[in-house]
Amino acid sequence: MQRNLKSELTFNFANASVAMIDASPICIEVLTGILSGCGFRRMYRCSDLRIGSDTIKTHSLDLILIDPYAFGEEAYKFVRWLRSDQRALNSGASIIIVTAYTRVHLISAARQCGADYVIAKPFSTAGLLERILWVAESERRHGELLAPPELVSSSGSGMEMW
Amino acid sequence: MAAPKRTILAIDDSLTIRELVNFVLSNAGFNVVLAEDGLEGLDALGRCAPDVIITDVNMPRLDGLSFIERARTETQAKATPILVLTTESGAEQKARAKAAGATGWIVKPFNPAQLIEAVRRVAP
Repeated sequence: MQRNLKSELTFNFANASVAMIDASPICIEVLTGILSGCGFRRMYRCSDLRIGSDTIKTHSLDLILIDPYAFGEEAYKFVRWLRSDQRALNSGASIIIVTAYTRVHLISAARQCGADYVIAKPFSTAGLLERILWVAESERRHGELLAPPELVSSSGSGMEMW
Repeated sequence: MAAPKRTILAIDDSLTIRELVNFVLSNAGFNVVLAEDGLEGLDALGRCAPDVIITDVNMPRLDGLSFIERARTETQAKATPILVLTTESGAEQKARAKAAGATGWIVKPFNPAQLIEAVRRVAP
């Protein structure tokens, strides 16, 4: 999937919350670096499904990235559980499954459990950002992750021009 | 006739940041040249004439502030706008960057739209 971002398109994830559920500390570290570069500030690092479950119950999330490999079928059950209760806090959060295993039955399971998208490892920064923007702009999410342009300002606290 | 694309030289030892800057600025209509550290940045200045330079501070071999000082004194980029893109926000480093000839200072994690706006603002 290739997106051609229009030059005037602005996106700001500073107010978005993301949970990363991955048993690999290295993968969590890489994801954190990429998401930081994309502008995410509120990131929750979850090394197992229990921590992920606790995070989902206690924080309002816009995006959940989960690698099911270490958790097996429990990971797909986890996503189904999240999607099953429409009244739950994060039942409508965007979910991207990140996996190095792209065999057909695994991809099929990932899609059928209610995730918005599957992205294969290894992925590029641009590739992940494209998928995040894709789910953010999808009809289901109504662009909730995309902050309105007035929130993007050259006078932001992180910039000085001389 | 469409205006020629501006060329941006982005210097950062982080592959993630290089990819992200490349993605953001390319999609905003800029040509992007990438370098992994200050020495590669100086080498790139000999091969291309960027309209704007973006550099990290903490890099191996030649750090960003030393790169700015050498770019201003040893290359043709004496007036090319230079934006520093870094996790650092110390007053001392900012003062050194400013004295060396930096044009602006952007703190990571950066807002992609803000970066585009900063580049457009300083591009000649």
